Amino acid sequence: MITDSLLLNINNIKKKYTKGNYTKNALKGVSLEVFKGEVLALLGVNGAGKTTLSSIIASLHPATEGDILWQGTSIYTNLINYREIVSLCPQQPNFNDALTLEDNLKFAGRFFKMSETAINDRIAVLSKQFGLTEYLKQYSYVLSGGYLQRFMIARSLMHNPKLLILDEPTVGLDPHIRRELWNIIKNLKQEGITTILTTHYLDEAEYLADRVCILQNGQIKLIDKPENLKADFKKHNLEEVFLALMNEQV
Amino acid sequence: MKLFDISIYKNIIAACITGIKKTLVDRIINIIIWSSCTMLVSSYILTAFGITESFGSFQLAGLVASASFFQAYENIINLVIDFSHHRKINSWLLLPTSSLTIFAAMVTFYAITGLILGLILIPLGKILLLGRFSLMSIHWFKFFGILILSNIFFGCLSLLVAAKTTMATLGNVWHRVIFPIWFLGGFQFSWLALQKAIPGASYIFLLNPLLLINEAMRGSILGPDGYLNYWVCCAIVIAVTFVIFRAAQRALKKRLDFVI
Repeated sequence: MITDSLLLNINNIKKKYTKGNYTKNALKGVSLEVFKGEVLALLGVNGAGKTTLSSIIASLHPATEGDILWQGTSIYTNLINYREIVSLCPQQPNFNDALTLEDNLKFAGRFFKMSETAINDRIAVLSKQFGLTEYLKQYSYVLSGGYLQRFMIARSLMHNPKLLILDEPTVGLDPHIRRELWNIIKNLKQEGITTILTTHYLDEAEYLADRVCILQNGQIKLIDKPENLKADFKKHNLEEVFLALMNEQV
Repeated sequence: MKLFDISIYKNIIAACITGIKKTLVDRIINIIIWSSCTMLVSSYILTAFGITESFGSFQLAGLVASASFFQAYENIINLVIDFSHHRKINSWLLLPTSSLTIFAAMVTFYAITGLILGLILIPLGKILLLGRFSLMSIHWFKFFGILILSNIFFGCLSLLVAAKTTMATLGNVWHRVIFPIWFLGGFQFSWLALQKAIPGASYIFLLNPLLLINEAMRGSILGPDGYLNYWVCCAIVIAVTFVIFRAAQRALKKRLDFVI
């Protein structure tokens, strides 16, 4: 259920990439609000701007124009504190594969100045929650794709972020593994973690999201609750809504 | 805004050191093989061609700098692969600090690994060169000074070259950057010898920081006679390191497009 409290106010975000003579406007003025405790799905075809937007919200890449307000002020004026509450789980594994899973988790905690006791307690909780206990002393190459993704999410949660950004967390995974990860993401919501989920799986968005934001060519096409979108378009599922939208565009 | 965070700085270095343990032995073995071959040939075989016996110890001092310098090449390869694929560096660039902390930690880590590899060559040189190399001639304070400075310089150079290199151009780095700097950097000759050979052009070679590092290294290991002033070399290396680090920061900002 969406609470009324606002977490982020994203105002007119634009992102332009320039390389030589080539310029791409990846985001063309995106504005939206993110509420505490919700799961917001960013949907769109490849190149729609989902990953660009999520990386800007995570404060990895700067916006060319626009601002993101957190607690009423720009994240860029309070970046250090903002980064304490946000975590990005990217599509590609970006942890240190020369370290064991446990060491990766330990350093993820140490980077955020957690005490060793707090780190060990957190590792115990997360490894149990994500079924990683037996792998803690191992290196990542022993993990299957599903477990690798679980580990990535667990590592992202080490420092107890309030906002988790998941970039295509289930891409390339088998259907039953995707289902397992969906349940994990559902549980995060129960813990009060706000989640921004980028995906191009419409069933995933329908199952997980409180609201969906459909991006097209760097702009927001629609943003609403899945049930409202289905009612407005008189469709049975999000996939049909999405196809109807695409047909409108054609 | 807190631009430098000592805790994050220390933990990035600690994470890198924990991670390198698996490959450090291999790197040490590689350096030992390469350096041993060079010292044995230059000290025991080249003498048959009229080269003096002291050429082995002369090469040893150059090898200490070269071992660290070639480490920079490995760093560049690893960085370019990372920048072009999974971008593990992004996980650090999202930490609650600025990129200054991250890059300083990376340079320090590179310097530590280069320092370890360079240090190993001194006892190895003594074992291989026996009486042709005296540990008594080493000015240890000066030796550690230039060893640390040179490795910090190589670390900064790694960042700069990696920031300017793509996977498509990675193959050019050896031929266009590493080899010319190394081969013209005084590994086989001192600047004084160069000045005798080509007086006019010898001053152009002073633009190569590796030549200054080799001169200072030899001055600290073999004694100051016949080499450029140690302190002048160090001062220039410090200045160049600072410039390279600032250039690396700017190039990485452009390449990785991070916030701060």
